Amino acid sequence: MENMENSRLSKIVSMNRLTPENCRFSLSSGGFLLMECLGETSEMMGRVILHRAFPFEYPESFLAVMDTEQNELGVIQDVTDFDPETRQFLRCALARRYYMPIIVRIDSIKERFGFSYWKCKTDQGDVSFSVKDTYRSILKVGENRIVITDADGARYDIPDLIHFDKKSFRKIELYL
Amino acid sequence: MRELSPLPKTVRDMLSEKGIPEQDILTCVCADMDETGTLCDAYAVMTKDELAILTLLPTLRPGKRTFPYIKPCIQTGYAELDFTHFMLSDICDFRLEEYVGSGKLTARLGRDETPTDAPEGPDMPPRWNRRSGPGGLFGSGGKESVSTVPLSSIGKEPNKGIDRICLFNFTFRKKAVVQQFLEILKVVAKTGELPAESGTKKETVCPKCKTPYPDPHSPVCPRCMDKMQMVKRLLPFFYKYKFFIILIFLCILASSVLELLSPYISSKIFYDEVLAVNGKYYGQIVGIILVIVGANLLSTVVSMITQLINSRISARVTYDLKKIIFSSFGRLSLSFFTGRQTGGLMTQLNSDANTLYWFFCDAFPYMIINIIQIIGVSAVLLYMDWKLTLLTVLPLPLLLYVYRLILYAFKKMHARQFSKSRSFYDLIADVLSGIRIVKSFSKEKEEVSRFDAKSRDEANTGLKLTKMSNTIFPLFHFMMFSGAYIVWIYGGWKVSQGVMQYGTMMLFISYLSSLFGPMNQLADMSGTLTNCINAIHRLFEVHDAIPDVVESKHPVSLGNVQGKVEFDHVGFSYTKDKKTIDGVTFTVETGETLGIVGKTGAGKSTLANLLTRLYDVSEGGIYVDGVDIRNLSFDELHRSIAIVSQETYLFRGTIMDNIRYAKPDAGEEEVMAAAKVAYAHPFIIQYPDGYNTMIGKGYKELSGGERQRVSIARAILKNPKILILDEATASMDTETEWQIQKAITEITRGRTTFIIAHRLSTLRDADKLIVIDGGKMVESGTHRELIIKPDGVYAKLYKLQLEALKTIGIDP
Repeated sequence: MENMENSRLSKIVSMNRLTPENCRFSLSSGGFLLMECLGETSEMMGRVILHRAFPFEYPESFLAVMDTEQNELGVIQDVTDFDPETRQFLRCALARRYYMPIIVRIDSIKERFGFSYWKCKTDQGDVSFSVKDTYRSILKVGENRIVITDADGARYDIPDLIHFDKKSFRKIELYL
Repeated sequence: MRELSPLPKTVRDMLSEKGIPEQDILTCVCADMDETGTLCDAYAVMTKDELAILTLLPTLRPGKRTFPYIKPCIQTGYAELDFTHFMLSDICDFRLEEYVGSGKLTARLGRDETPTDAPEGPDMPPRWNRRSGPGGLFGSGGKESVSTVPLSSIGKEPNKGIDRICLFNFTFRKKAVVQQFLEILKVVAKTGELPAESGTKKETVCPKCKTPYPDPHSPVCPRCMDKMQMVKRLLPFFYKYKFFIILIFLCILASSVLELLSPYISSKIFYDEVLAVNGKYYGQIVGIILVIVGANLLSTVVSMITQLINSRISARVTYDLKKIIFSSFGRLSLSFFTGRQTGGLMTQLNSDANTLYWFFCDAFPYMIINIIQIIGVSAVLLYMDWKLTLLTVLPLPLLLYVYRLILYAFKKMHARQFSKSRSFYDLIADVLSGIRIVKSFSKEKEEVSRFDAKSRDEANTGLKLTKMSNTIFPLFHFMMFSGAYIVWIYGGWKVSQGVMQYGTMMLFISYLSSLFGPMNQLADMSGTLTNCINAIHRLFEVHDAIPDVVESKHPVSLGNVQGKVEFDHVGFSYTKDKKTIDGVTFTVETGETLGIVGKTGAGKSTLANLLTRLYDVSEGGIYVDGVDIRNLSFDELHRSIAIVSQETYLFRGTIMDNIRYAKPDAGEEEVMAAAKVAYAHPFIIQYPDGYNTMIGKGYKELSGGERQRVSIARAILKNPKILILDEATASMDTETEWQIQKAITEITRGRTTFIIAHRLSTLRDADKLIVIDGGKMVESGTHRELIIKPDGVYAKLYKLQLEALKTIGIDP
């Protein structure tokens, strides 16, 4: 009875680790990530979505692979478990899902009535956005890393405050 | 053409060259991202049978250098990145997929033959017959329910999503407008025609400065807000105190004049006319001292009067402001409060009301006085010796500039200290409120070291601030007297030459020091004015907020409410992008009991919120005795309905007060009877103070089950025609639940009742059941009818609960 109980519990807590031996990833014609289970009988699982369990600490590890009905098919321990081509597919899928431009320079931050208007240069281009409740919208996610969430819910990353542009740092210093 | 985003001429020409003439375009939108994540302009246009996406990167020319700044870059044209083109007949099943910070508009290759959202059951009509309202196939106005889905719950996909394609990408800034595009796309794909414009177009961008509104739900542009208009709106609040404000102004003016006279008397007159041998009042020392004392005394008396008047009207003005704001809360809808930290709301408003008072009764009059003082003192000094005046005033602007820099540095230090302090107090509040958890996990040492780290952080920041203050300010004060040194040197030389009197020189120094203060206060005014405007803005935000749920101007009266309730194709969303309730239709006759079943988050409690008009439906209608509830008065509707929800809220007061809240004129026996029916009486009577026991924060805390029973007693006392029990027995042990079930059976007799439950055992005696899944009513019928459905949702839930009971050894 106890053994049955233990095996049932271990079934519930076990992670189905996805490796090149038991699955294969590819891209559909529409550019979406597809997964095929390998084994005695191959099964095409269809379109899958990658969810980072630890987006800030381990961006390429502990990736939950879910199908379109939110069923977890397994977990990728690390993208480096896979060959370079598959790694490329996985990284593309992650980049699409987690869109967070990196702020390279802050041109101006103007405050008006509790909102702040930001003009920045990012690695994806120039952006202007507004932030509501600036102090609460800046999240410290690492030792020197912050993420800013704007009024629309879009997020922007400053990965390293220490090596950040000095003039830009002075503009943001007040809110840190 | 319906332009959801402006379509520039250049782009129209480019599209024309690609075979999409302008006159064929039905609508267009500009997204802002390409597949690689690069920010660009992706123009999506649709004609009656095709969809084209032209992705362009604006080419920019650096702005001209014009002193003192560089003009922004100028767009010179576009570089084409990509052009894709689809026939609408080749794609279907359009969806807006939201990711983290961005989204995609996607479609599936092929024709749409199968429904994609609600699962089909044996008694669910096919999708194309489901709507029966006017307007034919798709209900009124050709509106189609939009399947906008967060990616985590895309739903069933034919062919497992392998043939899904991406039409274009966008960041969240464009979500609202892409949403509108999707609604139109779905209709055009099916009918080839644009749908009718749905009501007023919601503005998301300020028409004046073209910046998106920072709060998408509030069309107010902080940049363009007319500051003076805000101040003018506030003047009527102070108008009734105008006599006192004028009096304060006069007192401050008198006090300033006396302050200016005092150095004149104690310097010029005393040295040059009293102590000097050839002075007009030579030797009259006692007399002049008496004058000085008299002037100081008068100044003190005037100050006292000012303070007395201040204290008299300060409480009244802030009371008036707070009263107006708090009474605004009464008419605002629930949606105003959700998403706001209501706990801090009143604290913020309290502080804002005080800021406004202080500004108008203190800062503003002083601003006028400062201006007068600066002009007056400067005029006197120039008259006395214009050369010396210019010499001494020369360093002042530089000093002021240095002072502003110092203040800016201090502002940053203060902000940092405030942030550390807030973090420190947040930690304490957090740990103390969760002390039970800390102890049960033996985390005391960790919490103490966390506290230590934050406390040290705060102390270090405070230390830096104090060090800075103790070094910079003394240096600055030293610099401040540079003007005085000039007076000493030049004035001293003039006195030694006999050109200037000693008293005159001392007067100069006195007036000089009284010039710096007003100048600095005036420079500070911009910051003070900004704080004031911010406070006005926050106060008026509450005052001006328009309630979503508004009582009808001419409400219908039902008279004797029977309690028949109908939901007719009801639709509702809390947020724009997800439908919480979609097409729910059912009727509950007078005295019937309806059970509402579904998983957590299915939308069951939302039905209760809609019936009580905490929110209004966005589609369809709810009828009580055949009358739309929007046509009933709030009072009549709320008198007819009582709700007992899982989250009970009891006010601070006695148990008696809490039960009587439903009916303030109820007698003691009535209250006890209600408590008995709710099985609350046995535990209440055990307390030493019985029904007079004080409950709430700082007093007796009732257990979850006890609170629930008091809440039920309150609902029973109300004696409503319609009763809603929303997981009312969720936090009770089985025996208590059983007892209450008996009570509920009694109180529901002859009363229309809605029972919302997870546990199906509580719905045993319901006349009808409906199952809600994903906001839709997927099944309806009696318990017997639903239990025999082979793939029924209710049957599955029932089976799951039975198995759960079996695992703990209960075989029902």
